[in-house]
Amino acid sequence: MLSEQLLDSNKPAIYGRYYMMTELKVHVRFLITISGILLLLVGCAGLFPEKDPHTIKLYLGAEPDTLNPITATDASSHAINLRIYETLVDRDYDTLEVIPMLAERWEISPDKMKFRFFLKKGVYWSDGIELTADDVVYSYKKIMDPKVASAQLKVYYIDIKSCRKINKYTIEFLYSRPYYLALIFCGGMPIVPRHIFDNGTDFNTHKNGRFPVGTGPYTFERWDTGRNITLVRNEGYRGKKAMIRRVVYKIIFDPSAAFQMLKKGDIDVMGLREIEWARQTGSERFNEHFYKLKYYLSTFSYVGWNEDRIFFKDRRVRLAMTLLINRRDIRDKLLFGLGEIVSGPFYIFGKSYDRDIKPWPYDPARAVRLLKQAGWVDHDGDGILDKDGKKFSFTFTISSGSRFAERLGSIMKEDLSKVGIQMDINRFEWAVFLQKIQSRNFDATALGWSDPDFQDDPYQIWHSSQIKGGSNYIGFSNKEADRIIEKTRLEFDEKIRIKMYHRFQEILHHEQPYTFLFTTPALVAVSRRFENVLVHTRGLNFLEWKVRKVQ
Amino acid sequence: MKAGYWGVLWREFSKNRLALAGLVIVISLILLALCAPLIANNKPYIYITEGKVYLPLFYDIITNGKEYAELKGTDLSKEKFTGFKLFPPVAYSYSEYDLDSIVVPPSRKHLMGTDEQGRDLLARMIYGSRVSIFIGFIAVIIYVAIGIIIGSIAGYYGGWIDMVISRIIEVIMCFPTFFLILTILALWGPSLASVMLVIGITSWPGIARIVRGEFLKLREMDFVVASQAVGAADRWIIFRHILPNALAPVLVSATFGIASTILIESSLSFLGFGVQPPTPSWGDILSQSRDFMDFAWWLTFIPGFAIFITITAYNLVGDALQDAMNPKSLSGK
Amino acid sequence: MKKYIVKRTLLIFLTLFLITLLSYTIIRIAPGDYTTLKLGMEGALKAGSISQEILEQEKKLYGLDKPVIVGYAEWLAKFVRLDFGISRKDGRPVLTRIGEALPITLILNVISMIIIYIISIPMGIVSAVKKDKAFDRVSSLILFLLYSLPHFWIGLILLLYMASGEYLNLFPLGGIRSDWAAGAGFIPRLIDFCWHLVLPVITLTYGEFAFLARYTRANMLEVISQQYIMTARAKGLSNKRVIFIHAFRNSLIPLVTLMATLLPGLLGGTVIVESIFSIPGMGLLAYEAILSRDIPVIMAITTIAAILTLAGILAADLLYSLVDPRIRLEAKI
Repeated sequence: MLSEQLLDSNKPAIYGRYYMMTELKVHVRFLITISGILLLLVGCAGLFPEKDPHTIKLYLGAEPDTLNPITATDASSHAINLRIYETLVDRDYDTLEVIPMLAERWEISPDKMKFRFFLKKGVYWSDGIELTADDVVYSYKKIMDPKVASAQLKVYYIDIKSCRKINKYTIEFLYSRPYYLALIFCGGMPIVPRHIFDNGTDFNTHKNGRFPVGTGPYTFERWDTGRNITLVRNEGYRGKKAMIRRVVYKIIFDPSAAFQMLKKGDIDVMGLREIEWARQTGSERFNEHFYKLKYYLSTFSYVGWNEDRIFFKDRRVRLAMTLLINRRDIRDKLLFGLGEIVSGPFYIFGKSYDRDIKPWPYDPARAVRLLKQAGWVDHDGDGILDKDGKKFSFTFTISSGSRFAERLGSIMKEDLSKVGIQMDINRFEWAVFLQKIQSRNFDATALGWSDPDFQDDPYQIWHSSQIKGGSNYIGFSNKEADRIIEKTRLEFDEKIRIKMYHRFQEILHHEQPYTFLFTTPALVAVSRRFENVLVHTRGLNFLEWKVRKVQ
Repeated sequence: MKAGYWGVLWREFSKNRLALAGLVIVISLILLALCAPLIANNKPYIYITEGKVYLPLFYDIITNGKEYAELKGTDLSKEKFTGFKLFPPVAYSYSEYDLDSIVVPPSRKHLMGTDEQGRDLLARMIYGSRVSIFIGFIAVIIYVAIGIIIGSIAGYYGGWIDMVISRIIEVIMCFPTFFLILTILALWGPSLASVMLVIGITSWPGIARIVRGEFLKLREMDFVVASQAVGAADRWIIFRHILPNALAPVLVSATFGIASTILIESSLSFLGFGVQPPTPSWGDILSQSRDFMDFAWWLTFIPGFAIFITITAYNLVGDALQDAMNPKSLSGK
Repeated sequence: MKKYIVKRTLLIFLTLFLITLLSYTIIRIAPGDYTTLKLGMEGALKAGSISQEILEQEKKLYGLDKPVIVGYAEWLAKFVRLDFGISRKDGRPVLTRIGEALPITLILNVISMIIIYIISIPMGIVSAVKKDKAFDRVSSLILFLLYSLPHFWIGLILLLYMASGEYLNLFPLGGIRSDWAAGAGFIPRLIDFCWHLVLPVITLTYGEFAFLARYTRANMLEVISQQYIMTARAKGLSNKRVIFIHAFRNSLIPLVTLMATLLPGLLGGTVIVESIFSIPGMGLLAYEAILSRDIPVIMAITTIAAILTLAGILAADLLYSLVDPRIRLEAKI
């Protein structure tokens, strides 16, 4: 499941934990004075409870819409639901192997069309009712119900012909065609408790969306709108219990206020921006209280060139644009060296990515030659290139939430004007921006893709059938690439698939439908109140963290 | 007699020294905005090399962005080019970036420091004054014009015309203005023009009410009744007789209006609905750098202070104008 | 009088109708709708042409497939039964969401309003009494300077210097409640709540003193110069008594009517202050609703704000006519 993202919002799903940092010595006096006055007013110090060391405080940049996993679409709800709800299978945090979760095992038919899952026995919803095959079938039916607002999930399950209960603990999914990711898709389907939802009320507005009941390691405690969402450890959890007793997700609208709260100890984990990592968290005090963790997930940023536009139809022009963007300088200086320049869409440390394909260099001279070959020369001497009377003047459409795209745009505008290309930046609010992109009403744009489950399937972005209504909004169309994409979806042998992907990356590198930019690492500060904070391929997992004993 | 009125006004106004200071600031800001490309630019005024004289900056302005063919591709700000060069006082353009000096504090090289892309803050501040000033003026001109037209129609004709217009005024006033602006910008995309236009078309009811009120008051007066009696045309009466009398309170309201428009623009920029990058605006500079105000004070203090000074100047001028127009303060002295 | 009120009330319905129709149309014809946004967030418009079908289904679910006028009629039909519908964001009734945000904004604004009145009215009176003396000049200059400081700038500065712990650590970094407060008793909770409100209230109030103080001063000056005050003075009443008993009482009247028009402002919420201090009030609710195209929420807020504004205008007019019988109501429609 690839998802579009703002260039700056690639902060990982889990953010922060809590530690009251010692204040700057100079200001201790003020603190005492103020709390002294408060205590006097109250007359009794015991009225102010101590802070609980077994609570982890995480940062949410936006309030979740709902905690109903079938209708929820935003990142905040996913981050929370991940702790409350479970799915049939999971993937190992390091090896990415498919491992059992609610299902203890599964069988796949030789034609790869039938998937049979055997549920673990004795899995209970947090209200004490046992989870059975009925819940799974009910969840599937709800996802596909036209009255349920779950379009974002429906698209993944349209290839499923049927989902039926074999017995109380067995479910079978029947696919209409084979697909190598089918197991991950149907095994990753959200499952909701039928006995709660199936009570005749409207599914979309069901009150359980505000009071979720799941099977996971944490259970829902309370939701203070606009402020906090609190989870407590599921004491009856069948598996290994989490070490941290309570999780508070703090909703903070303003990221710079959140960063101040992190430094003050009001938040325990938070993703950092590059400049924060490099310039604002270097102090001894900060490092005494926080781990600074850096790890790569499967994300990349790019500049997309709309191939419908007369300028970008020509491969030479697209390549010239890539040669004109000084990616090394931008990475080294603007991003403080945090990131890798990529030449293709796959996870750079994965097998599908071919590291032998080196990114194009920064070479303006060659770019000018390519532009000349393509017919773009300043014929009328007005300082702007032209061809057949058409000036090389285009708009760079970005979303107003993306600071990186804005800075990249300003740099590109300045650099392109030096070779006679006029570029204007057009910044739109997210909803309008999305509409422009989806209706393909743009010249060039900067965005990022993230592939949080490391699935690699390039179909939705690159197949020519996805130009209309899909995610291939730049209009990339290449016969060989289409063939590779179709074949790999049916290919269950990983080695052969990887070989085909390498060829696919070569085609993209040659065609340059995107100027691939960087894959930037997740930069996370975690309070040193916790130990056993490990970095996995999939990132951090606070279920395994322990609260450090205070001496 | 008309000149006499404005003369008295000026005499009263100029007694207020603070207001004069405000006026000086306002005028210098306007001049700064008008001359921004001549003050902050990375092209030299004069460049003399190998016996040839070039005027790159003026050539650029006159030809709207062209360069001398001979100088094409050469970076005149770099030291290695020999010859005589005379640069503007701030030898940077607002969009020229330098990735080697990102977020550098004020120094001799960059008097106000640099921003997140290594752009010179002083140059950006100077260009940013254009946005503030132009948005202020043009938006206010738009809404004053609309307000005067609609207000005078309502006030002069009265009756059902007045009634319909009053309803429209009420409708517009009932919208939370800031939200209306925000909605329109959010929905249709922000730009300099749309910010001005939106402020322009949402803020006129205030002016319309003032003008309408003046008309209601004035139209019963002898001189208007007299000119109606001698058969003067409607338009003539409105423009020749009533409008000049209504202008004074409008002028006051417009002055305050410029101040509040500048504030609205910077608030919108602060929320990310301002002008398109890389065009600088003071609110935008402030909003862009709020994340690191803990170590880069200059990036938030300087634009904040500039907005503050500008608004103060306009308000002082408006306030003094109001005082000068008040007949009581005249007679009191 | 009765006839007048009936007429005015009927006109309010007409105005309300126009406002809601206009708002609904603006939101609906704007680019980007809830469905696109929801799917776009996840980038889920993927798996081939069939997704178009799913998209249409989803639009139908939210009534976005109907023409604007039909959509408005449906909204209106619900509204007359006082049903504001269900919020698109979280599927809860719109009124529940407003019910959560409104008290917070209301408390914040009422406290601010009280502080503004408590500080600026005495200042205005003293300024009027000491007209043109040092106090009058200095205080009005200070209020003027405060008035010109942009909110967002001061909010950020307060947060950084008073709350972040980088400099001082006197106040919390936003929010309205500490984490420990949920389990605490009433008094500590109250103190904690007030402690959280200090910085937002400062940000909301400092700029508002100027207007009210000037207004009070002008009213006082007018009252003082009137005949009966002169008489009272001539009768030998002490200056203090004259000022505070006679003059002040009379200058209060316009202040009361002013309050009526300020009523809707209380609910508007200030998106900037609320977002800087992470306060989940009406401003943020409206802002977020606009960005996510949550039509029922936007419509509810617009409608409620409009009703309050209209009621405020009506109340102000009525109060005026009660206070000053010379104003003929009929002429004011």
